[in-house]
Amino acid sequence: MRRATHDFLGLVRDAENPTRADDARVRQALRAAIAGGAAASVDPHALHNPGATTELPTALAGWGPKASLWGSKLSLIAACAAAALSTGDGPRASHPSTPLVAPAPLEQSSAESRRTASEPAPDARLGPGQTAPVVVPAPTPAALPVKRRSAPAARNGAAVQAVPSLGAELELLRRVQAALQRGDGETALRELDAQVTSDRTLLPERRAARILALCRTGRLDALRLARAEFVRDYPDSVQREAVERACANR
Amino acid sequence: MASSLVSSSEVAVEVTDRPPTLDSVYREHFQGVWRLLRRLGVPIAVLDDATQDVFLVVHRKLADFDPRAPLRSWVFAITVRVASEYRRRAARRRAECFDDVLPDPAPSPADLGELREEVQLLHQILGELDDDKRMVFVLSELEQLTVPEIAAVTGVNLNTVYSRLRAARKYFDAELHRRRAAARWTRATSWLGLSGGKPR
Repeated sequence: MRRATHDFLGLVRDAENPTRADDARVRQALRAAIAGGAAASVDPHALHNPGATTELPTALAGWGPKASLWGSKLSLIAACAAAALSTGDGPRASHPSTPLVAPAPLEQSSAESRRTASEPAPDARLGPGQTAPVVVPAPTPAALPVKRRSAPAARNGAAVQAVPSLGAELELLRRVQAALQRGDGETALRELDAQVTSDRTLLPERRAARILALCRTGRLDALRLARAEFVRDYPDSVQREAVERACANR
Repeated sequence: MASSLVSSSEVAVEVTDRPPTLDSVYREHFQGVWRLLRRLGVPIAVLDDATQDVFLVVHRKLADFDPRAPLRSWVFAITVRVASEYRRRAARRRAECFDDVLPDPAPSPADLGELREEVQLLHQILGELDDDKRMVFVLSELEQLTVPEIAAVTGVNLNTVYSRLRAARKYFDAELHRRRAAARWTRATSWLGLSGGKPR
């Protein structure tokens, strides 16, 4: 291997360690699994109790599928919901007047849900030259009466709100743009999904923003579909260049 | 045994002969297990579950563990098996959802800071290796196990480990070089206001 490869591996070797929060969460889940599945025979504090190495009952300890069956089912639901969201971006963006249904809150313990809820998604998918923000037009007089009716609910992912106002749409795009500039594609997608508008004035901007967000979150298949539809529908859009540059080298 | 009469080597033997506890194994190996699962391709959405499963197996089998054997290899052997199971499940889940094989968007749960792009690149290239080559490459180049240790952990014979490692190193080296050259080219053309014409 080249010297540069050795250097690279040396650099990343000790990266991406879990955080203390990860440690605490897994430790707690492990204790709960031991306590919940083997209350009669296993010390629930075994993890903090040196010497407690009692055998787990087979139903609990027999490898992963048995030990975390319920968790796996929840993860499956979560993953399917996430997949539906990501692969459905293109068609949904093409028909923004169609009511969207936000995924029901999932009681998942997955790292993914925690990450999207509390931390910005890492933006490492964004390559050089792909940082162009969505160009949000200056507000027109018609767009000025802004009333953010659904923003709090949208940010909490609680429900999808119908927002007929162009001003609200503009506000939405500003929030999306801010999220993209922070590198937080997940939030940008959530914002876009959480509000539906019947006003099509800013539809190209909304679709362009979605494409940049898909790039930032690495959802390349959905991105390609949405990008192809965008170029087909808006061949002369000023957003076209930014859209075509999004993850172009991936 | 009077401690004042015990030589340092005897102390070492005494210490290593003491059976480990779940707590001590967890404290010593949690980070390594977490990292290894991630680098072996366990989706971040189920990383907690997979880590938990590793330590549940550790807990169940700890009584059978020979304290004179290398603990890390033993834990890693369990980790490798759990990772394989989770990768299989992830593949099945994608099929059930009729989803395409989407890349896992998050490179790591940790705060990667300036290393974010490098870690992302690492995962992209690892994701292109087949599972067997990825496993030996990760164990060798990232976890720094020796080839005999890898053979013990994976249950694969030495020659096969060497062969897979050679192939994986060759691919990783070439791919890293190619991607970095492409990134430099993109940066240069972007700065000059050019577009397209990416090098292959």
